[in-house]
Amino acid sequence: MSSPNTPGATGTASAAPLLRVEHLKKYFKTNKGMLLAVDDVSFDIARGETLGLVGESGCGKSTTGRAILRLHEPTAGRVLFEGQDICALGRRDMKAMRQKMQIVFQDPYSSLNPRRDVKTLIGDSLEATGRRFSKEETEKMVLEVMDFVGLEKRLINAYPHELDGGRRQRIGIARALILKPDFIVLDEPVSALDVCVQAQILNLLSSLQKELGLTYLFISHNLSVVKHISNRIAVMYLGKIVEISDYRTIFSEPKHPYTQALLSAIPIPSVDQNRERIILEGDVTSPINPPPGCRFRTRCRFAQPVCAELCPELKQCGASMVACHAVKGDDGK
Amino acid sequence: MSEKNNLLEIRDLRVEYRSGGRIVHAVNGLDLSIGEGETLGFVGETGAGKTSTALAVLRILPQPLSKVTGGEILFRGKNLLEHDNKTMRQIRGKEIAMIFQDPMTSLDPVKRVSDQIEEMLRLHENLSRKELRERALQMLEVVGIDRNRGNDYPHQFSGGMKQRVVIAMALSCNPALLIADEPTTALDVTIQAQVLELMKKLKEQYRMSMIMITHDLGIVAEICDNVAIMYAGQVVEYGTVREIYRNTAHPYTQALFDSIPSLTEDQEELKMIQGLTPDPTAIPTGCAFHPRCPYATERCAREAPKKIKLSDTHTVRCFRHEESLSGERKSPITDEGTGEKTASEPQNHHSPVKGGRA
Repeated sequence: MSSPNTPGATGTASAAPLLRVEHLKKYFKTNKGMLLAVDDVSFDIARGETLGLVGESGCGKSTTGRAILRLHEPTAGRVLFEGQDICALGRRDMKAMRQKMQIVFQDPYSSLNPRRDVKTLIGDSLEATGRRFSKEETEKMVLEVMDFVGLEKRLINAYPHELDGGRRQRIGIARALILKPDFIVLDEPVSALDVCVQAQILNLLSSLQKELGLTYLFISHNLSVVKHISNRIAVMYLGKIVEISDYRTIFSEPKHPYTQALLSAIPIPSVDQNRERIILEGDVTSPINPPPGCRFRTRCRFAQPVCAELCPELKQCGASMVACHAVKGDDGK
Repeated sequence: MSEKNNLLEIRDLRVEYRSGGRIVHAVNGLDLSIGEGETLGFVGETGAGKTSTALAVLRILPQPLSKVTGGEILFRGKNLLEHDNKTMRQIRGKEIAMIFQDPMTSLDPVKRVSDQIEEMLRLHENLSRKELRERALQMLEVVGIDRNRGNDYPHQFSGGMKQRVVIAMALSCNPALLIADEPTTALDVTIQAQVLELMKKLKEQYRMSMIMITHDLGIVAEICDNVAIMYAGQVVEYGTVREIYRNTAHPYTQALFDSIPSLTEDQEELKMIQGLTPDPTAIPTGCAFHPRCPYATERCAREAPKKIKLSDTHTVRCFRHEESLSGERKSPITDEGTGEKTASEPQNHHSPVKGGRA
């Protein structure tokens, strides 16, 4: 499987990316004003690649994942899947497209209907194909995909309340997989799980990707989990991507001040640590009617006057793309 | 346990819940002690009995569903389980305070935050209204909140700020022991760093002992002196942070470490233990961890391992360390090599994605 290390958002991959997101925006109207959940976000994901999307709660990472699937209708921008703008598709075509693009949700407790058994929960996904399957066909396909995700056959008639969090999340994955998708948005798929179960699910996702050539957008707030599974990582802050790089560079040479602070905030399970702690002051500012300029400047150690005036654009900077006035790009600006 | 100046000592604690005719064994013979000024990390997965132990110490286990069925909890040498309710009320909040995971559940949404801190003070301190108010506002400043925000309601604060208010409440009566139950789990990582920094500072300032309940071994490394690893309602390993992290002795502790993806190294695949934490209504015989343990022998299924002393501060419940008692001391686990552990992994696991890009 080829997973070209394309560092940039615009991409330097030779082949066309499987998914290209261009200037995606998703705004919500609220009583207090416009909430800019996702504000001009662009990136590519190559076939077979995993792009990790990290950030704190409210930074717009889940909204990005959903807007890509049109679970939230984007306010502006384009989402190209295999070169086709899915935002322009009609209802019927979009439904067909959903077979190729699936999502796994965070909370395996609330994303499964408690009154359906495993067979129905997984089999219902097949409706998206628009075809009718006989009972026997459905059951055969369900059993096949259950085997794939490591669910015991005997559980086919079980209900969600009888299962633990790990097994429920396997159902969530099976529902996505039964449609044989090319691309899956994984929205915090392991956040609700204990570490040991989390490791089981991460290993499962990795082996499924290898076997089926899947492409992932992996959304998480847990940086060590994202690093483990991603080829490239994009860091979001208040609706904007502030840095995007390959998984190694972002940890070895974080360039954006926010990325640096985020990395230094992770508690590391080791007794010999010698690192500088960057403690950010204050809270994330509100995404409602944000002030002009860089969104991070209110908490930034390196804020300059220019940061209040001009919103920094992503620019190439070595192996990374960074949106910060304090970081010099390759073009010297 | 070493003869230090123990503030809290728990001996052979047992807690049961009744659940639909079945008995849930939440805590099964737990021994633990915590000294003056010490911070103890209390680590385990969901259902390990961490919170039940904390609730038992404060005698606030849900009634009548659960009860302490055995053991004793000595606080300053007196058994808390023998106190009447009035005495307990004087201890709660004043001597032993608790912080819960979700700050929203500990704050009253229709009361101003300063009033909520005052309420705590009013119960335990003999102060005038003016003094109460002043102390409450001072506490807000201690936790880094502007005193002018005392009249605000909880919903006007962010998650991190709410947790600061809860900390202010807990510390307002200067308790000797603070039990913090996953105090940062609901917070974002940069906010978590702020709150941990604050707690570190305050525990020095107030010279209190702290029990930090968490599932995050990173937080433990950051803030704790000693660690107790819980499994199925029992402490399976206890030691200083250094001992637990460097000379990991119990296979379960090792598994916990192995499950965390590394930030510094590339891993082909995460090592994992099979199976799940046991059903607390049917805890396995012998060593409760044996069905999942890569080293389990037939004896482990039969017999429960006793506490084995590896050093003055390091104990473990595992037969594998019996030999280290007699003869020369072996450094546990590390001398086994890492190859053996992978044998427990499923054979059908395909080489992971990362291999492709190395």
